[in-house]
Amino acid sequence: MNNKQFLTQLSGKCSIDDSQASEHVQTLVKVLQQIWHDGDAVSLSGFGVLEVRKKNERISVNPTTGIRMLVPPKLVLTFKPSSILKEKLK
Amino acid sequence: MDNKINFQQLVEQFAKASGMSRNWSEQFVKSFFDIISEKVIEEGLVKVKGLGTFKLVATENRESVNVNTGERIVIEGHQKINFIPESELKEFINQPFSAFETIQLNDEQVEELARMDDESSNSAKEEAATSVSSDSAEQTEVKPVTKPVVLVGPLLPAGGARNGEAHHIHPAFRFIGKVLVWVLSVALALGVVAYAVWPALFVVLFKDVEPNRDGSGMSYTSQFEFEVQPADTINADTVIADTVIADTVVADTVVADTITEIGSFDISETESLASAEQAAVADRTASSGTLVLLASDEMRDLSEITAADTVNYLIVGELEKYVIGNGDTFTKLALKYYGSKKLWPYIAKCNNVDVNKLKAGDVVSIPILVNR
Repeated sequence: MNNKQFLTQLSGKCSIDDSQASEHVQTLVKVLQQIWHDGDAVSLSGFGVLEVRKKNERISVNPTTGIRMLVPPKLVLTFKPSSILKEKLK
Repeated sequence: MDNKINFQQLVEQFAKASGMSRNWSEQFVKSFFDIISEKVIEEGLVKVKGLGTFKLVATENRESVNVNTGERIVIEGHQKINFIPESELKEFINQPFSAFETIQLNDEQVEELARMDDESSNSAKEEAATSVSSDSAEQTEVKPVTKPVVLVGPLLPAGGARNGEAHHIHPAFRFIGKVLVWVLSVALALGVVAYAVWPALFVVLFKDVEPNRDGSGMSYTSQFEFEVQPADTINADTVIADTVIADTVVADTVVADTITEIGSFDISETESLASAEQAAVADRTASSGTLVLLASDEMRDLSEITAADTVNYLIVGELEKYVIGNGDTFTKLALKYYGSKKLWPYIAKCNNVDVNKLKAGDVVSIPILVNR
């Protein structure tokens, strides 16, 4: 399901047209970005937790050449589905 | 920071940002996440522009081991939801760390990294080593050593000699050790003189600490700050050793005029006298330092203090009760009470608890250890 189909679904549910839906999605994403920027996590029951986590620096080795690289620490956005959502998968 | 934003808070923030009514915002945010979770299960993939892709991924059967029983178990294949953020979002999230780049390492740098790890664990010992010199130099009252304990360690290569850790006692060395104690104490005395006269040697030994000569003494700064008494006040009598002591040791009277631990013993004829002395001095001060420092820290009577860097001990009693706080581990306790992380199993053994189920507020007893 691509972005277009997603917007169509969303606009149908909220009785707005697609372009408005697209705008609101961008607003929502901005709000979410601000939350993650502040270091907070978004926890939604029935969906899961969207959280920024820090990955430590590490040394990785290129298996073919044997060259060692120092990979810097980084922040990544992670999604952990809630148990309710996981349950639905079975 | 580190808050969890729940659905209501998210709706509130969204309503403010979009200028729409609260009710409508609630419906919008709810449908937004409902559609994602619904469709990702139905269709296996949902792309949202600006956010990323939610994807259903199948995992295969895999074997694992039950940690408690050691049994092999099969974890059945299942489906899980993956989230891949868009690259723009990824970059935005990683902004604080965006200055870092992946660096190619050559072999020397890899070794250096490994050594840095090593040295950080040694730095505590070195601190102890230096403070013992001042401690013992200040001693006015000298207590006789009542129960010298002789520990004989195996050969340490000259390079690693300053690392006064982990001498496993080989029984065969014990006898030779006793005979050579006096020979070594003479060597140590010479070593101390050499130590006093040529501070340069010290610089060589403790490369990572920056010596800072100012005539009367040296001060070193590293992770900790400490001062060394003028070198000439240290003499063979006050430099002690690892065999410290004693029934009723009050920290301040800790002392010793005998050297009992023979650290780098197998140093043989092949090694030059000078390097043997260096190694001996460094080794000795390192390990004795730990003990004396501990003693002065504890400021209480100990029926027996034992060298921290050997392995075989008997538990003879309880030193004290300790209330576990947040972040405490047995290894930390072992480091605190005995000066060596390696002795934590004795604490665990004494308390007969499951190490993994330790919680803050638990009371554990710290055993008194005596060399076998």
